[in-house]
Amino acid sequence: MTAKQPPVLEVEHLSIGFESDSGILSVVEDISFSLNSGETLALVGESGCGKSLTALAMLQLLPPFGKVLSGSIKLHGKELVGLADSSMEAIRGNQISMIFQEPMSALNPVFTVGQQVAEPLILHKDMSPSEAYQRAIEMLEAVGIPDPISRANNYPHQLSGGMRQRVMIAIALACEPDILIADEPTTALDVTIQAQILDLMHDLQEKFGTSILFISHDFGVVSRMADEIAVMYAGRVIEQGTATDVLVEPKHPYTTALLNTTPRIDISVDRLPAIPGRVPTPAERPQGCCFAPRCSLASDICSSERPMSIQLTDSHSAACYEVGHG
Amino acid sequence: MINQNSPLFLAMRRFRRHRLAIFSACVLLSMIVLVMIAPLFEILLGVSANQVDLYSRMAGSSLAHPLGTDELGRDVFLRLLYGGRISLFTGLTAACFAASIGTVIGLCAGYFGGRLDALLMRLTDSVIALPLLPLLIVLAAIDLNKLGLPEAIVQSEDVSFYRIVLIVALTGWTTVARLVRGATLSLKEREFVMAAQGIGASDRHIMFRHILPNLLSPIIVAVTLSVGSVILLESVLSFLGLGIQPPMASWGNMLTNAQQLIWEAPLLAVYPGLLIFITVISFNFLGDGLQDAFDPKAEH
Repeated sequence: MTAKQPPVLEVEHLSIGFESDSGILSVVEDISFSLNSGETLALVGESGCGKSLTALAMLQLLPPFGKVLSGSIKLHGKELVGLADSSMEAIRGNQISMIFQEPMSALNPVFTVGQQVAEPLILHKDMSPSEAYQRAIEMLEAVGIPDPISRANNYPHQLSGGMRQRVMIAIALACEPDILIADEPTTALDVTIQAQILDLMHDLQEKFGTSILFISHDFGVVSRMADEIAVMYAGRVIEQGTATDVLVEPKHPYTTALLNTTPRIDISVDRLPAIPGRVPTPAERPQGCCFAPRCSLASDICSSERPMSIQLTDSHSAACYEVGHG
Repeated sequence: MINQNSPLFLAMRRFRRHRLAIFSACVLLSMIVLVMIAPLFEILLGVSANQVDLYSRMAGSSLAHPLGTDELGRDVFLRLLYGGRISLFTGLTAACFAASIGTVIGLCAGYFGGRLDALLMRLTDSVIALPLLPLLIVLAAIDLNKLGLPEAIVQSEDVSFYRIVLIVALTGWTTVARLVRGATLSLKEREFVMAAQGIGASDRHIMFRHILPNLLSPIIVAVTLSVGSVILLESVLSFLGLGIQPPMASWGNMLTNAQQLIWEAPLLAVYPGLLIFITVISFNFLGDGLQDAFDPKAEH
C-alpha cells in the first residue's frame, strides 16, 4: 500500500550550521531520513540536539545566520534547499505546515481565531475573505472546537491553551498540506489535554492523509504517534527504525538510556534513572562519538573516532561500535 | 459589527473611566462641530469672516459681533471659527501624515534590521539634530515659483496650508519612527510572526497585516499627543508671518495681528491664545487617557 509510493519528503545528508565571525559552527550534521505518505516520523532527542533546527530547515525558516551547509531536502522530488523566497512562500502553509510549541504566543492577539484560520486559505487558495471564513469555521469544527461559529469570533486571549493548540492545528491543516511539522506540540499543555491533542492529530492524519514530522523529547508521546523514529543526539541521527524497532529493541546506548528515563506504566521503579552529564554544545563536540563521555559502554575507539551508521535490519540502523559487536 | 472582545473595544471601555480625557474629548468634539458649522453662523450674523468694516473697528461685544471686531472691523467670533478650522485641520492632517511616514520608516527599519535599519535610523537622527525653527523658517521662505510648480498651485489660496502640512510632516515623523521601530523589534521576535512565516506570508504581509495592527494603539496615542504640538508649531510659524497667510485666518496669525494692538485691544490676543491653550491641553489629556486605556499595566 502506501509504503510502495515514493516518499513525500526526502532529506539526504543534511547539515545545518551557524555563520559567525570565527567561522562556521555546524549544529546538525549529516542527517538523512524520509517521510512516507500518511505516516508519522518522530525526531526524538534532548534539548539542543538540533531537532527544531531540522524542522525549521524543512520550511527554509532558519534563524538569522543559520544556514543549510550541505545536503538536500526534497518535497515530492523537488529540491527545497536554495529555493527562492517567493517559491518557498507558496509551499509554506500550503504543502508544508508547522505547529509550534507555544500555542499561547503563536496566535496574533489582535485578530479573531476565525480570521487567523482563514488567512492561509486567502493566501494560498485564492478564496475571498468570506469564503475563507466559512471554511475556517468548518476547520474549527473539524479540530473539535465546540460551537465553532461563535468561537471563530473569539480572540486568542479568550481561549484555553488546549483550545489554542486546536486552533493552531486548524490553521496548519486549513490548506490540507502534504506534510505537517509538529514541534513539541503538546509540551506546553496539561497531560489530559496532551492526550486529546495527540488523538486529534491522529484522526486528522487519517482524514486528510497528512504525513507528520513529529518532534519531541518525550518517548511517551512519541510511542503514541510514530510509525518511524529517528533518535537524534548532538546534531546527528544515532538510531533510526520503525517504532517497534526503536522502542522494543533499542540498540544505541543513548536510546536505551533515554527510554529508561521515561516513566512506564508496566514497570515500577522507585526513582527514574537520569543520564549523567549533558549534551555537548556544538562548539565542544568531541572528536569521537558525542555520547561517549556519558556512555557506560564507551571504549577507547569511541572517543577517538566517530562511529558510522550500521544497518542492522532493513528498517533499523544505529551508529555505535557496540552494535557492531553484538 | 463591533466585536465586544476586540482589543480596541476593551480599551475604549477602560477609556470611559478616564474622566479628564472624556471631558477633553467632548471639548475637542464640540470645537470641531463648531468650526464645521461656521458658515451657518455667517448666515446667522449676516457678515462673512473676511468682510472688512472700517466703520466699526475694534468694537466690543454686541449682538451683531458676539466677540467684537478686530482692527479692520472683521468679526472676531467668525474669524476664530475659521481660524480654528485651519488650525485643527492642519494639526490633524500634519500629525497623521507625519505618523504615516514615521510608521513606514520605523516598520522597515525594525523589521528588516541590519544596514537598512542603520541607514534609516541615522537619517532619523539627522532630522532630529536639525535646529527646528531656523529650518522651518527656511522651508517656509522657499519661493514656490522658482521650484517650477504649476501656477495654479502656487497662486491658490490654500498653498500656505499645504506648505505647513508638508513642512511639519517632513520634520515631525521622527518620534513615531523611533517608537514604531522599537515596538517592531520586539514584536518580530514574537512567535506569531514565525507562525505567519510558517503559513507562507510574505514580508510585506507580515509587516502590514500582522505587526502593524499590534502597533495601532501606541501610534494612535503618539498622533493624539502630537496634534497639540503641531497646532503650536503652526501658531509659531503663523506668528512669525511664515505660516497661514492673511486674509485666511488661523489662530496663529490672529495672534500676530493682535500683538500690535495689545494695549488697545488685549482681548484680540486673549481669544486665539486661549483657544490654542485649550486645544493643545485637551489633546494632551486625551492622549494620556488613550495611553492608559491601551496600556492598562503601565503605572504612573
